[in-house]
Amino acid sequence: MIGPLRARHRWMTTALAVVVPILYVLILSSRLEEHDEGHGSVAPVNASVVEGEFAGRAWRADGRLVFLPDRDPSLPDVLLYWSAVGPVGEDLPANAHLLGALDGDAPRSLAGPPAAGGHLIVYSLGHARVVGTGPAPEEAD
Amino acid sequence: MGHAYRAVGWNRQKKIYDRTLGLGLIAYLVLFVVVGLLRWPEHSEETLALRALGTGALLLLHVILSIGPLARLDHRWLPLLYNRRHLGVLMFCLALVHGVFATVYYHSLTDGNPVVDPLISVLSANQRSDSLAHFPFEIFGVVALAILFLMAATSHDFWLANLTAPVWKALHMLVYVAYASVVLHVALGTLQGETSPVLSGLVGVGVVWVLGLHLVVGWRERGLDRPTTGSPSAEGYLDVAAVDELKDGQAKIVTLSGDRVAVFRNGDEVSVVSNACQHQNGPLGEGRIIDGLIVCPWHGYQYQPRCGRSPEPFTEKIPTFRAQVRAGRVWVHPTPLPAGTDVEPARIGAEA
Ligand code: HEM
Ligand code: FES
Repeated sequence: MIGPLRARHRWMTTALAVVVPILYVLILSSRLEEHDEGHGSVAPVNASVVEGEFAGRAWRADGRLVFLPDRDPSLPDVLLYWSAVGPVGEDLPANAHLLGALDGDAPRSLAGPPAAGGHLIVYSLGHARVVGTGPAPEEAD
Repeated sequence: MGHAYRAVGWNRQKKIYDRTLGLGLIAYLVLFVVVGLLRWPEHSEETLALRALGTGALLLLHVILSIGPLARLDHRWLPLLYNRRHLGVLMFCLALVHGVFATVYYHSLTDGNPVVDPLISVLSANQRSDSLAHFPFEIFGVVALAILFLMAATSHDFWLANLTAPVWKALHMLVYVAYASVVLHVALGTLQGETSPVLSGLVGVGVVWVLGLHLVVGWRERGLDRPTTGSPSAEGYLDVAAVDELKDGQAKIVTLSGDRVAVFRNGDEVSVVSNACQHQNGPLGEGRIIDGLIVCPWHGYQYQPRCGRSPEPFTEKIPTFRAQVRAGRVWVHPTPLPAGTDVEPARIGAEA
């Protein structure tokens, strides 16, 4: 008999009707804070300079890596990688480590590199080639 | 061990339904990519295809989740329910292609340059769990996809018969967990970068629509589940309705012993059966008697009113109840008889 099934269905939808909207609003409001944080970011003087088609500045803050593009050259699907060795022409080196995706000319706060030293590589997935490189920034003391 | 299940055949109506569905879907995907290329030149075709597939799956999921409650509110939605499974399987296929494509595209680079193993990468690339907004959103996509896979894999009536309707229904209720996971997947993923209020607004409206609809219908139905009260007759029968309330060929649904029961009138006979169809627990009391058989409103399974058995060669059977008509009122014994038990119908006008 299906009475209990129906009751379970009712409680499940009721619980979700409470939990999902709350989580949704929480997640979106924490997103807005993050973007406000980025606005008006100014690179510190010792920031690393990334050069190429997709140029920008990178520095470390609280264990994370902040990337501030100079401008938005409108390249498709731009990802930021860290690698112990530099790129080989337009190709990513093997074992490059994905830090995260860049988003136009918005400043991005991403996970820090897994090791000291090394290179930052900006890679356009859409064009399948490297579009910027520079030294990885060191953790500020 | 063979299970006798009723193959729901491929009739003309279903073919039209599926063709319309397929064409509509292709139109959506193509339109999305074309408009997207004009509107967001900074995105590649791959990203747009990924988005078209993801949003297409989410859109379909909203439609699928709306059909159930809408059909309870208004019977004109029932034809959509009839074929809901096709929508479900199609939605799973879209989500699967989206998930696989995202994994391959974002997390592995070809040309002998495997940056990292794609799956490990999906689950670790975003490890920035220091704030809510940095939670690895792909995990929610994987959870949703796993649930949708289970549902699609067991969608055939063979599994329904094998697992029994209650177990199958419990499994398919996980669709709500999948839905919540997809909402989190989008909120923590795309919506973190995409700050235009259009997308977040649309997803918000979708959430309020789907869950609001379920709340309204669920709590309305709760009213129906109030048990029939009143003092039982000497033999334990309960007064459930006036004879005049029953329309010929239709039923009144009442709650007895905690479960819904359909009190059918067939000419001057009254027969009482469990309200739950053996197929997918559809509400038999909302169906009608056609050619002497109770027809389930969901997918058309048939039962004989007096014994609750499907006509030969089918083997489904549902519990029946004893009924009496006395002084213009219908009395029903609240204890269900074993499924398929033949019961002499109570007769209107031939009262003792
Ligand atoms: C293995 C499972 C999955 C993976 C790895 C995955 C991956 C992704 C990725 C990487 C994005 C971001 C795309 C972008 O920002 O451009 C995304 C977005 C999205 N996903 Fe998934 N996904 C998965 C499962 C699902 C499922 C099951 C659904 C829905 C039924 C879904 C619906 C969406 C939607 C609606 C979006 C937002 C639109 C978009 O940007 O594509 N995903 N997913
Ligand atoms: S639930 Fe499918 S026919 Fe009754």
